[in-house]
Amino acid sequence: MRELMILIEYKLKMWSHKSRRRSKKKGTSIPTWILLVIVAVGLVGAFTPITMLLVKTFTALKSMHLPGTHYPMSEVLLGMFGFMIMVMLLLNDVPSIIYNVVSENEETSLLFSLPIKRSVVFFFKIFEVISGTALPILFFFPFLIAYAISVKMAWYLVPIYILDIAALILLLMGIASVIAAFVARFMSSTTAKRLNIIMYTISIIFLVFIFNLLPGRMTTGNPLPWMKRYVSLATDPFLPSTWFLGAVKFKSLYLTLLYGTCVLSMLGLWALSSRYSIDITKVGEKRREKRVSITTNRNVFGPFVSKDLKLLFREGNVLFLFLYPLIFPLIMLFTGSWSIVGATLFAGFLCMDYCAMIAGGLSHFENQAYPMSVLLPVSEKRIIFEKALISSAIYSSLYVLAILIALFIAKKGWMLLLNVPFTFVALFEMSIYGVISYLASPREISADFQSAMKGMKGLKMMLISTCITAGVILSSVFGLDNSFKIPVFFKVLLFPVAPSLTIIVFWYLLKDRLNERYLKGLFENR
Amino acid sequence: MIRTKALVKCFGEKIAVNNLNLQVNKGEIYGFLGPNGAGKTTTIKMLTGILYPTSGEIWILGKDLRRHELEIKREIGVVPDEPRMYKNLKGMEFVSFIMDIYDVNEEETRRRFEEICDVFNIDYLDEFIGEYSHGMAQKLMVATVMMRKPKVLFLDEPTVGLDVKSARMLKMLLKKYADEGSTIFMTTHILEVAEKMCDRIGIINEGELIAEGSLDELRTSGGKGEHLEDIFLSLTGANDEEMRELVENL
Ligand SMILES: Nc1ncnc2c1ncn2[C@@H]1O[C@H](COP(=O)(O)OP(=O)(O)OP(=O)(O)O)[C@@H](O)[C@H]1O
Ligand SMILES: [Mg+2]
Repeated sequence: MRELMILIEYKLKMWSHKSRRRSKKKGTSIPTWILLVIVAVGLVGAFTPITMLLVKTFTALKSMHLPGTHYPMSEVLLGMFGFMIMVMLLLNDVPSIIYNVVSENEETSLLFSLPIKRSVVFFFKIFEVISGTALPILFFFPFLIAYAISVKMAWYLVPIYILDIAALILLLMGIASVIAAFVARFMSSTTAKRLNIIMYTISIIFLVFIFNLLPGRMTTGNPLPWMKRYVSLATDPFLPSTWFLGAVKFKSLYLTLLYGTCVLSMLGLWALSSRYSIDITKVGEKRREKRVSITTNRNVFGPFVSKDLKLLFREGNVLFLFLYPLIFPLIMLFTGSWSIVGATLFAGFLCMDYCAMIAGGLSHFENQAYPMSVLLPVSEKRIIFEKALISSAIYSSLYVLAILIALFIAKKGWMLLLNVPFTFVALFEMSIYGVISYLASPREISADFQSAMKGMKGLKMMLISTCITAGVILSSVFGLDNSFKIPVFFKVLLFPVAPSLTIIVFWYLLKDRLNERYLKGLFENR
Repeated sequence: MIRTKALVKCFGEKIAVNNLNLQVNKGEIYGFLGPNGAGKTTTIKMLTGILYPTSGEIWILGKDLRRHELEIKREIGVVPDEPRMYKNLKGMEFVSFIMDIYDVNEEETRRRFEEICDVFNIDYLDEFIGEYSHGMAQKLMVATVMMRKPKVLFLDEPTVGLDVKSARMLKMLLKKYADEGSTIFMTTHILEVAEKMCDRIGIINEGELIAEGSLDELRTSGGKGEHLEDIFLSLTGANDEEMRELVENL
């Protein structure tokens, strides 16, 4: 136990060092607790309206019964969300545990060389994975809180309610770990990593879908037949989420089931942990050929671009970053919760943000091979431009594709296409910004193509993409759409003027950084 | 071929290289020695255009490095202290990438590369670089640099991680290139390598060049002892008696 505490302490220290270093560079050192308070206030601020809304929904649904079931709709809803927590945790954690816990990586190698019990290392890694996936769980808190409020739960029952939630989460973790330990025997760590991303994507799409579909249909009155299927799924007696539902209502059978299996899975985990070893081997026989023909390919793209494209597409996970700007806006258009304007805006925003991110990721390749790129007889400026070109070309095509599909669905708003050239330029600028800001602080920005950018830099990048999207796309949408009754003078201001201005100002801000000396400094900064 | 004037590099407060004046002539093998953290790698990084010097000037092949950076980079070859390449490229893809970028004479370079591969036992070109061991990567790195037969070569501890045969081959290859007119600047901790191969040796300590010359010149210029090891230790301020005492007390 002491060893586990030491390891956790050391991990926390590393995290806080990271954030401290970040704030030191900027010259301001905000104490950690203030940051925490800000985050907490932000969370509460974001959650309060949702929770209020949900309280209303739950209260309204409390008295509704679907014919043929003995659960009120509010409980069905809670059961459904319990089910969703379950699906998300399992989808996310199984591959994540395989990848982080069971497969060999730098840290496990180090930990195994230390005089620490295997089980301790195992629990430490599990702890790490769980704290990494805490976010989706947080996401469901408004539901849990809203339910408690809507049924006017007595204060002395609240601790038990919380205990129930904890038991559910622990149970799911246990199940996930056991499955992971089992599946790991048949899976290589690269597959696990890839699966990790796929699952992440699926669960996000799932979430977006549910959030757009459910409230829309639930409030449109008459109970549809499809709901019955959902109800039977959400209240299936074999699912842990149903046990949770029962436990909340103090049904002794479900209470025993929930806590019993929770304890059992913890015991199973304990048993597993003592036999923990990293036994994943790289699959694939190595055949060695004496001579491999070397083909030089002086193609149109030039060696640098072809190399970067090759590396980019080998990154596997990157495919999802290409898909998001297409899928999300279109899902929303299909489910009818958004208009073409919304879809265009959303696609535009995602393209801007991911464009910068992919460009940053491309620069990450140079970082991996440092000092390779500096030794090559190619100027820094050219390297940056070529990377920006790759990522902006990809996202320009994706943006056009998304808009075209949206326009074909909506069958109106063709004027929007006029804004496309401006978006191209903006995307190129965003990519340059992405490369530069990645090179300026390679550690702070997630370049593993797994998730959005981390930390303050990531936030800053998101903010900038929002501004650029607003300047280039939002303004055009209002300027070009005839259904908005605006005087012509303002329309002109909104369409050709605002996007042009945005592009010029952004370029002006970027230009300073594009001198050789500054760029050299960036490449030097390892 | 390589010349520096009053070269200085600071990292913040710390002076890593201080007032370095070097001159390496054509066809010469120059050994750059010094204890850990003395500033060897930093010097090589400045000479090859990876780092900007804080002050001072550098000429390579008679040209000012600052003004003719790309031209010079095209002519020189560098083996950095760590063989880091693009992990997700296969060995052969990396080789063709290098050939394309430097725009070399294809036939000749390919022939030379294949010969070097034979010598170094490089038979893993169809695997991803990320899966190479340190020595495998180092050999590939050396091979891609040597295949171009650059006019000036910089090698930072090139024999680290190489097996016995490959290290011997590398030494022979370097000698041959030097005889054919290449200039070679290398750092090493293996004094035997320096003793056998280098025409001239520079010793750097805490950023400053404290001795320079051929082995004989070093012997006469204040370094005590017969072997390079003794000379090196006495020049860098290590005392045999003291060290022995410390070890005894452990
Ligand atoms: N990027 C950097 N930032 C700060 N200090 C650095 C940096 N690179 C090197 N130094 C410092 O400069 C000094 C010289 O380092 P250098 O890498 O040149 O040593 P070296 O002679 O190559 O040592 P070794 O024999 O271990 O390879 C060291 O004290 C090191 O701490
Ligand atoms: Mg070094």
